[in-house]
Amino acid sequence: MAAPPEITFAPLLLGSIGLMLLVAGGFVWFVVTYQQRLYRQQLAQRATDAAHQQALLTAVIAAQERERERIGRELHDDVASSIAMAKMLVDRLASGVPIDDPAVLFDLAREVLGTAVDEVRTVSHRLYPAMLARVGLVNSLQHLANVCRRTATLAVELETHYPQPLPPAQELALYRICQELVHNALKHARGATQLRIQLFQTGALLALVVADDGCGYTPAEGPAATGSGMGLRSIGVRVQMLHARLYQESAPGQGTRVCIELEAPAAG
Amino acid sequence: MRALLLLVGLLGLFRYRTLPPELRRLVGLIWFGLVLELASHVLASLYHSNLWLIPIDAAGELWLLSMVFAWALHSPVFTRVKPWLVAAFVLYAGLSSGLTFELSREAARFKPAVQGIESLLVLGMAGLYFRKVLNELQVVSLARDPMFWVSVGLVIYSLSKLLIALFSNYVLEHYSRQLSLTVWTVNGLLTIVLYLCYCRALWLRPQK
Repeated sequence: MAAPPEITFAPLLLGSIGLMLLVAGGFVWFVVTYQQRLYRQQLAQRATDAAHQQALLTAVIAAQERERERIGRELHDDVASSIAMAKMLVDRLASGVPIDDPAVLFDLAREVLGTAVDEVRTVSHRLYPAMLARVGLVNSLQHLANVCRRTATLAVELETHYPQPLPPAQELALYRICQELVHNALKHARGATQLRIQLFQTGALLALVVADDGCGYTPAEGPAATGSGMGLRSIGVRVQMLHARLYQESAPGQGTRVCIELEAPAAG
Repeated sequence: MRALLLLVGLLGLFRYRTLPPELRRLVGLIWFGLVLELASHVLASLYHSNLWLIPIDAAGELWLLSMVFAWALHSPVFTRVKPWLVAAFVLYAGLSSGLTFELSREAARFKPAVQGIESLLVLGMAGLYFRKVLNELQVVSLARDPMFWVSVGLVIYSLSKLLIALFSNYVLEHYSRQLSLTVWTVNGLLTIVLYLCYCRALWLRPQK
C-alpha cells in the first residue's frame, strides 16, 4: 500500500501525538482528583471512627460512674442504714439501761444484721455475679428472672437452649447485656405485662432475645436515636466486644424486642 | 536540552545526600542519559550513525527505572519479577543491536520494537505507582510527592514516545527529512517536559 502524502500524514501523526498528550494529561488529572476524593473519604471515615470510639469511651466511663454512684447509694441507703440501726440496737442493749424485753431487741438486731448481710450480697452480686462462674449462664439468667419476678409485677419467661457454653468473659458480657435489657424493660416498658428472655444456640449462631409487650417507642424517637440511652451505649460497647450484632424492633403500643446475635462454637 | 539535562543532573548531585533511595537511582538515570547524550553528540559530530545507541539507552533506562520503582513501590512481587523482566529486555535489546550490526545496511534505522516495548514497560511501572497511590492513600498531597512527578513525566513522555517510536522508521523511509526532524523535535520537547518533572521531583523534600 502506498504511503499517504506527507501533507496528509504529518498532521495525522502530530495530531495523534497531541491526542496521546491529552490522554496522558487526562489520566493524570483523573488520578489526582480520584486520589483526593478517596483521601477525603478516608479522612471522613477516620473522623467517624474516632467519634464512634470517643462515644464508646464516654459510654464506658459514664456506665462506670453510674455503677459507682448506684453502689454508693445502695451502700449508703441500705447497708449503712441497716448497720447503723443494728449498732443503735446493740448500743442500747449494752448501755446498761433497764429494758423491758431485751430478747426482742436482740432479735431485732439480728434481723437487721441479716438484712444488711442480704443487702451486701445483692450489691456484691451486681458487682460480679459469682453465680455465673459457679453455675453458668443459664442458671444465672434463671436467677435474674427470679429476682425480676420478685421485684416486679411482670410475668417473666425464660427459655434457653445453650448446649455449648461460651468462654467466661463472653458469658459475663452476655449476662451484663441481658441485665441491662431487663433493667431497661422494667424501667421504661410502661404497661408491660410480660417479659420474655430467650437464649438460643442454633448451629454456630447464639441469640439472646429480650422482649416485652409494653408501650414501645418510635425508633426515630427512641433512646438510641436521641443519644440519651447510656445503658444502650454500654450494651453497644459489649456487643462490639463480642463481635455480635444488635437488632431492635419497637413500635408504639407494640412492645420492644432486642436481639443480640453472635457466632458461637457449634454444639458437638 | 543538553543544558537542562546537565542542570537536572547537577541538581541531583547537589541534593544527593538528602535524597531517598529511589531518587538516588533517578540521579543515576539522569547521568546515564547525559553520558549517552554526549556520546550521541560526539558520534553525530563525527558523521557516524548514533542510532545503535538506542538499544543501550533503552536497556539502561529500563534497568535504572526498574530500580527507582522497586524502591518506590516496596512490592515483593515487583522485586521478584524485576530482574527477570529487565534481563529479558536487556537480552532482547542486545540481540536487536547485534542483528543490526550484522546487517550493516540496517544500521541507520531506529528500533521501534525496542523503544515501544520499553515505553510500555515504563508505562506499566508508572501505572503500578498510581495503583499503589490509590490503594494505600498514604500520600496527603500528590503534588508534594517526588515519585508522582517522576511518574507523571514518564506517562506523558512514554505515551507520546510510543507513537513516535512506532512511526520512526516509517517517517524516515517515506517522508522528508523535515518531517522526521519535526517529529524528533516534538520528542525533544517531551524530553524537556520529562526532565522538568525530574527536576521538580529532585527539588521537593519528600513527605515523611
